[in-house]
Amino acid sequence: MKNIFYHLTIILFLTCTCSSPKQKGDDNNKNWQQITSDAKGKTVNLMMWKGDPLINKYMSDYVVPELQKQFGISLHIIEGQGNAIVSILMTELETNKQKSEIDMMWINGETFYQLRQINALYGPFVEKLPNNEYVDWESPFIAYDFQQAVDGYECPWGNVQLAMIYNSDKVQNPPMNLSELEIWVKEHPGKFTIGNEFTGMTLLKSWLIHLAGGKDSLSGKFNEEKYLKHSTQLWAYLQRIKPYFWNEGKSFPASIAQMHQLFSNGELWFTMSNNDGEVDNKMLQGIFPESSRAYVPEIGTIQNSHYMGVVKHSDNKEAAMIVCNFLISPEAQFRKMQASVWGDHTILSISKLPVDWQQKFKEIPDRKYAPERGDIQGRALREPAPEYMIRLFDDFRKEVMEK
Amino acid sequence: MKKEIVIALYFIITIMPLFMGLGYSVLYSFGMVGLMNNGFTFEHWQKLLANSALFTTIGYSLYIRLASLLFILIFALLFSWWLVFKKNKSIFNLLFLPLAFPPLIAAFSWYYILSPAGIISRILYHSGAITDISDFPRLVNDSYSFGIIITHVFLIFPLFTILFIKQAKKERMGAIQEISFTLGSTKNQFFLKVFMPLLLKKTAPLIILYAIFMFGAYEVPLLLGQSSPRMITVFISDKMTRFNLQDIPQAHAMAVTYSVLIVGLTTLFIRKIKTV
Repeated sequence: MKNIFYHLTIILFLTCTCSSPKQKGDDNNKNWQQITSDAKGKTVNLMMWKGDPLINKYMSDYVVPELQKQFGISLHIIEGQGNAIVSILMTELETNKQKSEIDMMWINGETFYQLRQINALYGPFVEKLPNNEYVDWESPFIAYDFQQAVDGYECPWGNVQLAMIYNSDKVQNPPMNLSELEIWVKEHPGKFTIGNEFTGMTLLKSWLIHLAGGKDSLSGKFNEEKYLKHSTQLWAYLQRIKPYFWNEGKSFPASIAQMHQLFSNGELWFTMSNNDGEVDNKMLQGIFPESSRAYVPEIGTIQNSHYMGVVKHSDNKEAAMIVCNFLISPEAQFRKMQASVWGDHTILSISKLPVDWQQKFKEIPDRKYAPERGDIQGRALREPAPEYMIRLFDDFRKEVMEK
Repeated sequence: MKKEIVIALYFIITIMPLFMGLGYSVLYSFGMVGLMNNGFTFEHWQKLLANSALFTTIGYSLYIRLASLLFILIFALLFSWWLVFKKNKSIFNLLFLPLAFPPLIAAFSWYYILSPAGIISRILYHSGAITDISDFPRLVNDSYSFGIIITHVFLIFPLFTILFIKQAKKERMGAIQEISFTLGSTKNQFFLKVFMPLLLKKTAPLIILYAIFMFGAYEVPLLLGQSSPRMITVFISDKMTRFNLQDIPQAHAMAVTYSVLIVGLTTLFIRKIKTV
């Protein structure tokens, strides 16, 4: 009897101890024609956030059928984002799984940083994509993700800028800087808050950059001294206005969906979005009140891009690359940019496109409730190094939520 | 030999997966496994123990557990008292309804009932009792965790009511009541000195076990709780899934702390039962 337990215990600990995962190198030397031909009939598992009906519709009604029709590829979309993706891939690598359940995923800066940390991304592959020639790599908002060079490890898909959304029936002159916001919040207690999630932290990053001296003041590698100096100012500011936040600053929305819901039902008069065009999208869906408008304060907000990554230990990398190439095609980008479809700004350089496509992009109807891209580009701030986000997340909890 | 095989099978199916998970968390928390770890270290435990949120989290979990349990028992005792002596079968059947609610659905339902933009608030607004939704008192995501407690009570008090009713029948409470009334006892005296102590004593093992396992509540505090302090489970989940991958070993250390706490409390309780 003792022997049985002894052996079972040994097995238990042996199973717990994981060896270092072996990674397959980039051995793909095929040309694009071969890649296209070999990928025919394959099924690609794409993990992405499915929280927006218009984005889901774009994927299911356009991308999925077009990939099947044009390339014979079945695209299978799985719900999951950020931390879920990292968690799955981390577990697969820790258990030395040779073939991933996910072939590609929709990511942005934080996930890119994490996936590069655990060496889970395939690449460089973007230069192999024929449509890469149209990508606006001259833009630092596309070529750099959280101050890290993309280096071909993720394929840009869309570009967005954080915008504040407000109810214009209730707010006639939205605050344009931190002093005006402080006055407004104190005069209208309970109507403003910041989410304890990605978008909220992105807003705090914008404020941190402003306190540090504005554009490019936090560019380059993480600077502890600068962070401590300016984050102290930021926490002092937040401490002053927190008692006037929603729920007296005793709790903070845990997701952007919760912020939007509080805005829709009138509890909040402000919400925010990482997509400057989202207000049009949400109003078309009937989610936001008709008086909703978006703007970018004069102190600026972060602009960044979102990307498609391919899993290093996927055995469907070629088919995943074809999906990426299709997603950055002028046709797919043009469709996605329209407010009635999604309203996501393109990552293509319009001037690099064939003339007929240039014309089509120029004819896309203007946004109705969000500011025009050209008007807010001057207020766009670049993402600082990822360590700023890590520290802001931790310190926001310590310095604001728990005090 | 046959008995040994059955025990071994039981071990493999039930105990081993739990111990494997716990073993993995122990190794992770000491830096021995995990992509972000570089070998044995006490660093993650030191960081966790230096984090004041650890103790507020445990204290808060304890508060939720005791407050919920107190109200669950009060409601269940009063309801079972009423049902045992009134014998209202249709209401007894209704008690099974909340038991069919998954905790997440119950949490959502209470959110929509109690939030400032919820059903009660809207009724009060339209009836003129309040002039703005901000006048409605905060009953979800609130400082006293009223929303969490009421959802726990809604979900669990029917179970204890049914349990108390069954136990009361087993103890022949009707007959005991008649005797006590004959001896001059009042209704209140009978409830406080006979009905309540007898039922609580007889069902004590289940009550204590439930209280221990309520530490593991997740969905309800996630939706209805404050951002700070958090329940243990929400704390672990936050550390496990947040932006900083260096926090994952701390999440495992917290999971180990939680498991040790639960196993310790359960063992203490089992010993106490055996000695009674």
